Parts: sequence; structure tokens; C-alpha cells
Amino acid sequence: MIEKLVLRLQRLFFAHRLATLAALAVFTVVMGAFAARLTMSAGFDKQLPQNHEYVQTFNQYRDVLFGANRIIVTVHAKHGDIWNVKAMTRLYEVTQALFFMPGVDRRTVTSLWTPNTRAVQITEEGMKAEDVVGGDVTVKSLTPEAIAGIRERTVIGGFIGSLVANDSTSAMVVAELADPDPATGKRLDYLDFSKRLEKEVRDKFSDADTQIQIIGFAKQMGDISEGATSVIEFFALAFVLTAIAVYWYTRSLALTFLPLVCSLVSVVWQFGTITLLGFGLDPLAVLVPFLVFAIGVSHGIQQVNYIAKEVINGADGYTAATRSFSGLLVPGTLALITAFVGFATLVLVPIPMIRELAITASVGVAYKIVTNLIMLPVLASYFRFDNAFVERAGRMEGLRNRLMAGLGVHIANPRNAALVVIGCTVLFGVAVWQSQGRHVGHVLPGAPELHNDSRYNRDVEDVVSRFALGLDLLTVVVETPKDGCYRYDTMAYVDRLTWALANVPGVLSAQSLPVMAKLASSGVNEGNPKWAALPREELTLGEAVRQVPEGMRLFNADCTVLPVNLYLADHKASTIKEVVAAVKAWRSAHPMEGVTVRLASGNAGVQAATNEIVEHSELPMMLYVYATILVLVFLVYRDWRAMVACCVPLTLATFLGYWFMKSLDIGLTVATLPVMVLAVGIGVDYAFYIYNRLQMHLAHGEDIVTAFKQALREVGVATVFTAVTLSIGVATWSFSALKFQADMGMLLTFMFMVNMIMAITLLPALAVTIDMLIPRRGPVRAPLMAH
Amino acid sequence: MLERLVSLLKGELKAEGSERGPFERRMIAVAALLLEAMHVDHVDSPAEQQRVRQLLRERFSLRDEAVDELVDIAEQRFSEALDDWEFAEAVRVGFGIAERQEILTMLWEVAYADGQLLQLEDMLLERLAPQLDLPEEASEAARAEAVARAGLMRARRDGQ
Amino acid sequence: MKRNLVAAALLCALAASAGAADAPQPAVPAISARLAARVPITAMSRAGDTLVAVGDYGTVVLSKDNGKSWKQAHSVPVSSLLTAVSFADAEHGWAVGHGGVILKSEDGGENWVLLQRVADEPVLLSVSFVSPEHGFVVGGYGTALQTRDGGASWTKLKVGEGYDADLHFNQILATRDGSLLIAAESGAAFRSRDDGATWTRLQTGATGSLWGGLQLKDGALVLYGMSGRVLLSRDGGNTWKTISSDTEQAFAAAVQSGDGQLVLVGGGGAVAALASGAERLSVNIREDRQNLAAVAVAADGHVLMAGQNGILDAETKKP
Repeated sequence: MIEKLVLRLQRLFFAHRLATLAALAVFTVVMGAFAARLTMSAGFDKQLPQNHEYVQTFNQYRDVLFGANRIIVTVHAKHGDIWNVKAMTRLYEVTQALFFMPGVDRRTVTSLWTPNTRAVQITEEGMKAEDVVGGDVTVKSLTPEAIAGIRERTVIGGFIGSLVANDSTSAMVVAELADPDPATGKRLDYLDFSKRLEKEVRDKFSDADTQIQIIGFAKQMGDISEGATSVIEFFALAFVLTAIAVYWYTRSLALTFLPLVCSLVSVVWQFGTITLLGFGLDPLAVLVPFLVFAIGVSHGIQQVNYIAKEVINGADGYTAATRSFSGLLVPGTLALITAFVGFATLVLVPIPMIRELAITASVGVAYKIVTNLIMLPVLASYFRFDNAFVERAGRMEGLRNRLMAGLGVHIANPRNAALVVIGCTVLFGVAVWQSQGRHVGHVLPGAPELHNDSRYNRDVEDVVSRFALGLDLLTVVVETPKDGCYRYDTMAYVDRLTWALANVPGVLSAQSLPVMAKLASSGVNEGNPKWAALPREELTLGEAVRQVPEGMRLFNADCTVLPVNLYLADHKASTIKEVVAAVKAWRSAHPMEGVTVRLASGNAGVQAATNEIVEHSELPMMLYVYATILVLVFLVYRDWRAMVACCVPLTLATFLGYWFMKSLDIGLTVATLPVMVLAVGIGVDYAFYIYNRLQMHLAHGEDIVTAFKQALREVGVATVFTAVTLSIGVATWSFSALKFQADMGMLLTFMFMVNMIMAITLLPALAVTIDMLIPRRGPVRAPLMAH
Repeated sequence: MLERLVSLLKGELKAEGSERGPFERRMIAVAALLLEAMHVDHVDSPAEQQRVRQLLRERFSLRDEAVDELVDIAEQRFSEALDDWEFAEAVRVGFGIAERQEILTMLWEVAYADGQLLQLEDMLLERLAPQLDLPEEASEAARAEAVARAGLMRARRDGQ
Repeated sequence: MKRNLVAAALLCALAASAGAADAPQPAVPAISARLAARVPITAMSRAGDTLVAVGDYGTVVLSKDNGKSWKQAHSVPVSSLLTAVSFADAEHGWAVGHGGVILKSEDGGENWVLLQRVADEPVLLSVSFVSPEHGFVVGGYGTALQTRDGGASWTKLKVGEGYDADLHFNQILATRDGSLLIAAESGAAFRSRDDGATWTRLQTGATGSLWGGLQLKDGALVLYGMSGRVLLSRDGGNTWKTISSDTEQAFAAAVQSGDGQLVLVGGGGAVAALASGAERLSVNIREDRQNLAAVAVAADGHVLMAGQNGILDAETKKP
């Protein structure tokens, strides 16, 4: 039945070749117009799993708490410290620059110069809050005495370590970004913002004495976006390398031109569709089009391989093309379906960025069915192959066949096969063992997407080493009944929670309203330290609470939210996990009526959410993809042996991939989760190509060894070459300025090559060994494919 | 099972074919090669078709229905295969040298069946001869024999 | 009559609700904290050769190596701010704090039991035991208590009259001649020569709060407190002389080191010293401006200080 359908389609497209190509060309032009409008779009919220408990807390209290979308600029005095006119002036200028920068939420700009920076002192007169830099002090009126006063108040206010470096050589300006813009509703363009920062802050204010560091999510995203734009060069390089490789393989310009152009066309369609759907290209997902292009080329190789063989056997261009079309439509579609499924399962991960990636990739792969399985052969039918080509190709063919036949003898030899299976079983055990303890999330400080010696990460190192505050904030939100901050039992509860969490390893410091209220209470009592406790009477407690500056964001207007801000030593998944576990343990051990302890806001809080989702998504994703593959294999071959022979090598390759990840310290993150899933969806292709031919020959009554030798002769070189072209497509990324791109490039190259090796060694070894140990009883059914 | 594994590791086990149909693999292979010789010029003349059937009938002593079935199976297998290597191999291991020479003669007969020898046909048969493990003299002899038979046949036809 | 009844009923209801709002919280034991030595410390004392410091969250930390390293006590049944600690000997000690808590240890400070939660949960600010059975506790709003059975039961003391009755009593100390001295707010100080039965208000000449006092080795009495005030009396408290100092910072604690020097610590990182026989305080302001609240001398003569950020590293005091 399928055969008839295939033949009907073949007749349809080939009878109306020009019409088909014309339609496709028009579509290409239309899509091209949209594709030209494609933009890079980074987003903060995109990377957060929106339905996660912590992210919901984050979203709910966005306006009340410290945001996670901060920008930090530090002014570093290269010689001496900042307590001089020049440095203080610079600090003022930077503060102003940031204040007026579009996208910055002005209310949140904080530095020594801003009015929300006040030195809270406990004196005999009570709690005294003084502006660190008084409203009457201006840049022009900076005298040594004024600076000394500022310095004094900075120390008293406890800003050494937070707004000023431990050694006073740097001062910090912090601000939060308003994304989306509350006035216009437009999303912030991170690349643009980052460039602005470079131009209007770093370039403008750096000089012989002053160094500027800039860190924060927006800068991180901007640097990543910038690094990602260089991907065009990689694409060009990969394209050229692929072209060279394909030419070497086919020795025909026509046959080189076909797969490359057709894959390129589908990339254009993909970009056009992305723009139509309203997505941009996320810098973390910019590699996907590469990948899809590489998949396209590898399928194109299969087509030209088939065409070449037909031509060598005497067919003309047209006939060869029709045969290639009908011969590969079903297996090709099948292989593309598995890749499609691999991408599509990612839609199940509740992170918008990954969903976007899944959709754009799935779309690209689906388009391949048209461009590589229909357009390519139709286009190929116009080409003529002269005798010179036939001879050339025939000679190469003969050479490759002999090579593969020789290889096949050794691989399919029953004894060798059994040995290979045993060896791979051991390898499997080792791989499983070695891949334990793969870490989730980011281990190194700074931006893991960028190299350690990138500007951004060096800035992070500088800031972290000079300042005492952690850059990683996890906020625990305590929800209380109205006016909770005036009730002793509520405040004492939050106080104990704060202390318990402050003592969790990995927490640098813990801040909350009760802590400040205790200081205020002491202040109300002449600054006596023995009175630094929460008053038990509501009125007195209220008095103490009212002394705490509102800008500290430790309570909201009607006192229903009391956040506990935890500054962490780093943002390693293990650190964050420990803190989260401590919170959960504490809140279940100490329930209080009417009070809810919620996780979690702050950048470490949302990271915890992302880590959790990513960690819990990996296995289900893998299982879905495997399940689909098993079902498809079964439908096509109707033979359990096929399921084993196709899926076991895939599993081994996957675990080898995990081992590889662990060795290279590549963590499981939003950026790397898709990679392993995709690798499985694509890696199974080789197995299809080889097993397809194997099954067919078995159906012809050949013994397993001969059948495998045949299969290898027929598609062996093409399979190896497919892996090579895929690897070329991704290996160029290893030179990327973005570390995660380099990691992904290496990981994918590894996976493609390993999967291919497994397909030509372990797959046949398994097939042979199984047949030897459990001989077949019934006839072998030909695969559900025409050819 | 364990015993089988041990003998497998010792290299004692050999793979077995699984041809289940009414015809031996080698017979199907011969039929497939004949069909290939017939199809290679892209013209399926009745003369060629008849010749193929006649050759199979005589060589393997088959009734007409059996021949039809054999041709069908061979036709299908041939279209599934990417090249003729498996059939050439099956013939090579399945028949002795004398038989193989005879088979090569049959192939030449098919090529000459329509009275013309095209370059494609020539190339095909030149390639098949070594694949069937036949020395050059044997290949030449087979060709000469085929020509002779074709002449005989024509003579017989004309003579009637 | 009916109006009075209604008023009385209303008052009762109000009192009841107020009382309900201030119902005593069940005591939550102190948690084992790795940052125990970094809590705000309010008082430091010696139990034999061991240094004992107390502070927020029911923290009690001990050092058996003269302040080089500190370990948290094994068990403390409260989490409130502890304000004072006093040991009668190497084993028997008492600590008091917010919520009216009085704790006792019988093993040198490792394990503590909650002896009492004084009614109405006053803020207790000082404890002093003259013997393992006989001790005194004072606190805010005129709280003053005495025990003769090691803390099992306590009786109220009446110290001041009228307005004085509600003053915060910041410290109580026993002098070597058997008198009791209380340093209180608003420059008030009280003395009792009959074990606390009766008290006289001393003429200190000060109006700023007095946060504490101690008796020097030579018998002189010292009172210190707000605005950098240090008072000296050589006649048992009848007359007082002001020691001049440069600082306006309040002094929170004082101790006399082995060489006879009086060391005072206070807010804003103020550390002052008065050499024996000297007339003027020499004041040093710490660079970190930390509010200091406690000071003690270790067995080897080192002077240890602690305050809002916990215990400072051991400092050497020249003999």
C-alpha cells in the first residue's frame, strides 16, 4: 500500500517537475523575505520555567523584592583607593550615566551617591539614618573633609564590602532593569543595551587611573548575543568544508551542489517561519539551524549516493532521480521523523526558550522532508551525467565496495561479533559508572556560556574578589497575615528562619526585617546592645520596624510579605540545592498557622527552579525519544531483533556521551539539555540506513554474515560520510567565543561519530550474535519500505 | 544458550541462510542476473523476455507456472537490490565452474536475444564474468558459444 | 454602679486580650550553628579557665584555649537574646535574657536548663551570684530578683521609690565588702548594704544612663555608660569623680586586665584604657567601627572583645 502511495507521489512530482520546482522557488522567495527580518532575541523570562513554584513566587513578588535582573558597574581605582576627588567624581558620573540609560528602573539605581543609600547608626538618640552622601554635596563641592565624612558614613552604614570594595579600591553602582518597559510594554533589547553600556559607560569612563567592570544578566546576555552573531562566520566555514567533503565523496559538481543548496533552502524556510511565528533567534539556540542544515546535508548525501549508484548501473539522470526518490522517500521520512520527534519532545520541557527551540527545530526538520526528499531528486532529474563521471564514479565505487567488503568480513565474523558484544557490554558498564555524578547547572562563577578568560568572566572574578557581597541571591518569601511585621510571634518566626538559613553552608549572609528591627530596637534604647531584640509589645515593635529604611525592600506596604535575602557563596547547583533543602526542612519542621514560607526569588532562586526542571526533564525526554524509536523500528521491521540491534548501540552511545560530558565538566543546563536529546534522535539514523539494507538482504534468504557484508557495501561509506558531514557542521563551533557553543560542538561531534561507529560495529555484532545464539524460526519479513 | 555462546566464541558456529521459498537462492540469483541482462538496455523486447523464460525452463527443468513464479520473485528481489553483487555472489558460491560458464553463456544469449549488442550490455557482462570467478578464456568461450547458439536458433527459425 | 461594672468589664476584656496577645511563647531551643561565634555577643565571662560568651539566638559559646577557638554549648533551651552570664565557680553558672529567661548550668557552661521565665517576661539585663546559692538578677522597668537556693525560687526586690521604681537596671554587681551595686539608666545608681533588703540612691552626678560597673583590685568602684562617661569612687560609692575621656561613645562593658589596666569597650569601635593611677582615658577607635558589647580577660592574660559581629580575634595586652 505504501509502495503504491510512493509510486503515485513519484509520478505526481516528476510528471510536473517544473511546476513543483516553481512552487518551491516561490515559497523560498517569500520565506526569504521574512527570513531577512530575523533578529536575535535574548530574554530573561524565556529561560525560566514559568510554572515552577519558585518562578511563580518570583513573578508574584517582582515589584516588591530585589529583582534578579540587575546590572552592576564597578569603578575601580587602579592606583590608590576611591577616597579622592577624581574617583568619587567618576563614581558620580557612572551613577548618572546608569540613571539616565533607557531600560534602567531609576528607582533602583544605588551607589554611594544615591539618596537611598543611608548610613543607619544606632546612637544615644536612637536609630539615626543619614545619607552617605548628603543632598548638599555635589561633585564640585568635594573637599577632602567632605570625602572623609562620606567615608566615615560608608563605614558606619556597613557599606564596606557591598557598595565599596573591602580594600576601598572600588565602588559599585547597582541598578535593576525594567523589562518589559512599563511605559511602552516593549521588551528590552539586550544586545543594544549591552552595546550602550560599553560605549556610554566603559569606554567613556575608563582611563589610565580608572577601570570599569560591568556584570549582570543584561551584560551577560549582550555578550552572548554578540558572540552568537559571529556564528555567521562559522556557518560559512562549515558550508565550505562540507562542500569540499561532499565533492570529494561524489566527484561531481552537480551532486555536490544538490544537497548543499537544498539544505540551505530549508534553512531559509526555517528562518522565515521563525519570524512569522514571532520568535527571534535566541543566542543560546543559534546552533539549531546549523544542526538542521547538517541533518539536511546528511540526508542529501544518501540521495546523491543512491543516484550515483543508479547512474553507475546505467541509468540516466532522470531515471536515477526517480528511483532515488521512491527508494528513499519512506526511509528518509522515517529518519527525519525520529529527528523530528527528538526535537518535538523538548516541547514538553516547561521552559519557554527550550520550547521555542523545539518548535523552530521541528519546523526545520519537517521542511527537510520537502527539500531533501522531494526537491532534491526533482532538481537532480535535470542533470546529465557523462560517461567520464560514470567511469570515475564506478572506479571509486569499486574501491569503496572492496574496502567495505573487507571490513564487513571482519566485523560480521560470528566470533568477532560475539567478542565485540562482550567488549561493548563491559564498556557500557564503565560508561554508566563513569557518568554518575554529572553536575546540573553551572559550577563556575560568572557566565558559563562564556569562556573563563572572557571580559565578562574576568569582571565577575574581579568583583567577587574585591567585594564581600555574594552576587548570588536567593530570596525566601514569607507570607504573613496583614501587619505581620507588627506581631512578635511572626517576626520571631522569621528571625529564627533567618538564623537557621544563615548557618547553611554556602550562605554568605542572611538579611531580613527582624534582623534590622532588632538593631532598631537597640537604637530606640540608647543604642544599648542588650536591647537588640524584638520587642514583645506590638506598639514597641511597630516603632522599631518603622525605623528600618523602606529601600531595603524587607517588607511591603501592608506587611504581608517578609522576604529573607540569602547571599550565596556561588551558584553551583549543589550549593543552591542545599539551601533549598534547608528551607524545605525548616518549614515542615516549624509550621506556623497563617504563615507560608515560599521559595524562591532572586537569581539563585530562579536558577534553582531551572536546575530542578532541567534535571527532572532529562530522563523523561530520553525515554520518550527511545519509546518513539522503538515503536517506529517495530512498525517498520516487525522484528524484536531489529529493536535490540537499533536501540542498544544508541543507549551505549548515549552513556558514552554522558561520560564525555562529565569528563569535560559540561553541566546539564538549559543550553545543553536539548543537545543530548537531539543527538539520540539523529544518531538513530545510521542504524536505520544499515539495518534497512540488512533486513532486506535477510529477506532475500541470505545468511546474516553475508547480509551484513552486503549492507555495508551498499551504505557503509555513505553512513560514515554522513557522520563526517554532520560532524563538520558542528565541529567548527569548537572555536566559538562562547564556551557553551564550543562544549556543544564537541559533544555533538562526539555523539555523531560514536553513533556511527556503533552502527557499523555494535549493531551488526548484535544482529549476528543474536542470530547465532537464538536462530530464527520464521521467515524474515522485508522492511516496510519499497527499496 | 551458554554452550552456544562458548562455541560461538570458539569460532565454531557458522551463519546459516534462511531461504524459505520454493526456489533455491542460487536459482533466484540466476534468474535475477538474466533479468538484469534483459533490463540493462532499457528496452524489454518480447524476444528477450521469451529467451529468459526459455533459458530458465530448460536449465532448471521447470514447468511454465514455476518459471513465472521464479521470474516474479527474481524481479522483485532485483528491484529491491541496489546492485547485482548479491546475485553474482550467490551464483559464484552456488555453482561449480562448468555451471558458471554455462550461466554466463545464458547471460550472453539474453544480451544477443534482440539481435543487437549494446555497449551497456557488453559492459555489464564484462563486469560480471570476473565476479562469477571465471577466467578470461572461459568468458570468451561463453560469448562465442552464445553467438553460435543465437545463430543456430535463427537458422532454425528461418529454416522452418 | 452599672457604668463602673461595664467599665471594669471592658478593662478586663482589654487586659485579657492584651494578655492574650502577649501570651508567653513556648521556648524554642537554640540551634547548633556554625556561625555561633559570629552572632551579636552581649556578655562574656569566665568559668574557671574557660571563657563563656552569650548572645543572640540563645547562643552560648565556650573557649577552652584562651579565646583562640570557640565552640557552641551543647544545649541551650531558649533562642532569645541572652544578655548576661555569671559563674560562681568553674561549674555553676547562670545566664539571663529577653523573655524573662533565667538559665543555669552545672557543668561549666556546656548544658543549660531553663530555671525560670519571670512573669510578664521582663527584659533581664544582668545576673550576679555571690555563691552557688545566693544570687541576684536585674532588668528593665525596675525588675530586681533574689534567690537563695541556686535559682530554684526567686523573690522580688524593691529597689527604687516612686519614679525610680520603673528605671531600667542595667547591671548588678557585688562588691568585696558585701555591698550590692546597681547601675541604672538616667545616671542612677543604687547601693544596698543589707543583701538587697534596702537600697539607697547614690549621687553620681550623671544624668546619662549608666550601663555597667565593676570593682577594681584596689577596691575602687567604677561606673560607665553613655556619652563616654566613666565615674570613679574611692569611698564605696558616696562620692564620684568623672574620668575625662575624648569620646562620646557609650561604654558597654569593662574589665580589669592582669596589669591593673582598666579596659572599656563600647559603641562605634571604641576601646579605652585607663592605666592604674592614670587620670585620663586613652581611647582608640577600631577601624571597623564595630559596636562592642563585651570584654573579658582569659586565663593567660589575653583580653577578648566581642560585639555586634561576634567575637573578635584574641588581642594581646602587654603586661
